[in-house]
Amino acid sequence: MAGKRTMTLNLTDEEMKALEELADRKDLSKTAVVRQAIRLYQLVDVRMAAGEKLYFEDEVEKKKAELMVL
Amino acid sequence: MQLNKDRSWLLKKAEQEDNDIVSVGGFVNRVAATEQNGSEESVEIPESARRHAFARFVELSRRRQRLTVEQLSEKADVDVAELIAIEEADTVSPEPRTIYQLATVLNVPQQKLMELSGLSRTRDRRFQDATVRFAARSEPVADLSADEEELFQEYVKVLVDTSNGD
Amino acid sequence: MKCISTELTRRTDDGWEPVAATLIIDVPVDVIEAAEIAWAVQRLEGARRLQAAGSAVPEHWHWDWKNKTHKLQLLNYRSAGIECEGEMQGLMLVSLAGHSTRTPPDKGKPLVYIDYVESAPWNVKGLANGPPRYGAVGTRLVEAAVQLSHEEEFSGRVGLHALPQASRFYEQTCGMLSDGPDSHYHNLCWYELTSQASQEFLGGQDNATQ
Repeated sequence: MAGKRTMTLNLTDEEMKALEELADRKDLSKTAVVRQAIRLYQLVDVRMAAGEKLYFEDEVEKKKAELMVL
Repeated sequence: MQLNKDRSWLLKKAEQEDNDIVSVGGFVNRVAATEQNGSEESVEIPESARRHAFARFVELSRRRQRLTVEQLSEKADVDVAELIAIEEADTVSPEPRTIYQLATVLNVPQQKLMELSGLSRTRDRRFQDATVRFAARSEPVADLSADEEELFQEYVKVLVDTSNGD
Repeated sequence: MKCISTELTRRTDDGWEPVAATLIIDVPVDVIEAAEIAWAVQRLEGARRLQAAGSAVPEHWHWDWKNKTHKLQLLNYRSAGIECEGEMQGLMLVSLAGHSTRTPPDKGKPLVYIDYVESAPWNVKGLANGPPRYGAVGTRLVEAAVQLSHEEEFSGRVGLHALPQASRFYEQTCGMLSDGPDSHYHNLCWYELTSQASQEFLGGQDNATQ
């Protein structure tokens, strides 16, 4: 893990609100939430590039819905 | 990051951990994937086909890398006599270390080479069928290449020359 | 890569004695692959001895760490290893995102998920050719997972799916709680170390790190 760099994020009020809610719900700092988001986005992106698909599954309804990440 | 420096804790944990297996479920995915591809039961490849397929596979893999037996034995750090025995389908059970080294140098999956060599059983019926087909089709039928022909003639000349003094 | 001085235990005639070791965080891929080479032969030979004796073979006996190292290209995964007396004694791969705790009151909060973990075959009863050499390898790796969890602001929470043979280590040595079989994961049991339990595992020390 290399040293860290700083960047400024320009977010809308709604985006900041969503970030703060996530931070509160997950008991993380906003930076940690953004870090998790980057990890997940990279992971999903790599697997989709390899041809896999990402689904949410409704266990009650026994349905799958595909989530596309561009 | 700071780790626990309490030695009494460490010794207690060592005592508790002794005799336990430290492992998680990732391995199960591999077994499951294998079971999806073939039967759950252990599958035996006919011994003669397996030995022949193993011999031809090692030989062809070596030749694709343009290595002599000696060069492969050096590169893989395995005994040349064992390698010859493998390629002549003359070995009942190669050394595990040899299989591991060959898998690395020939760039093939270690587990599959272990199954092909007979060191472990295969669970994969598709692999069994492919091995038998490979054994059947890999009998050398082609004419010698120009290099093989030249080498052969040189070797015959040495045999002839050295036999004159007998 | 980070190297942290620590200790394992080494077996003696009387039991165990502490021995200097190094915990490595973010183990270089070539070091992982070298460890695989060092482990693979004895792992295989040990498994063959067990099979010949009619004993159960540890379920992980033919893992190949070379097949795991590609994950380390992604930010989501990190590795840890523990080295002692010139040899790698244990390796672990963890996932930082995509798993969350299932236990109240922190249900839904992120945790460090142990994706793969293994002790060198000479430390595993049955695979070792003689009594296991070093102790507390698994303990130190789980401890490392707890510390990584603190670094990530996950409060020491750790989770994993356990093979049946490994359940005792996680329950008794680590103090993890089980959620029971997970139908989404081959019915293996989900084990979790809550924030509270992680402190108890570490002997009640406040090990939150910055």
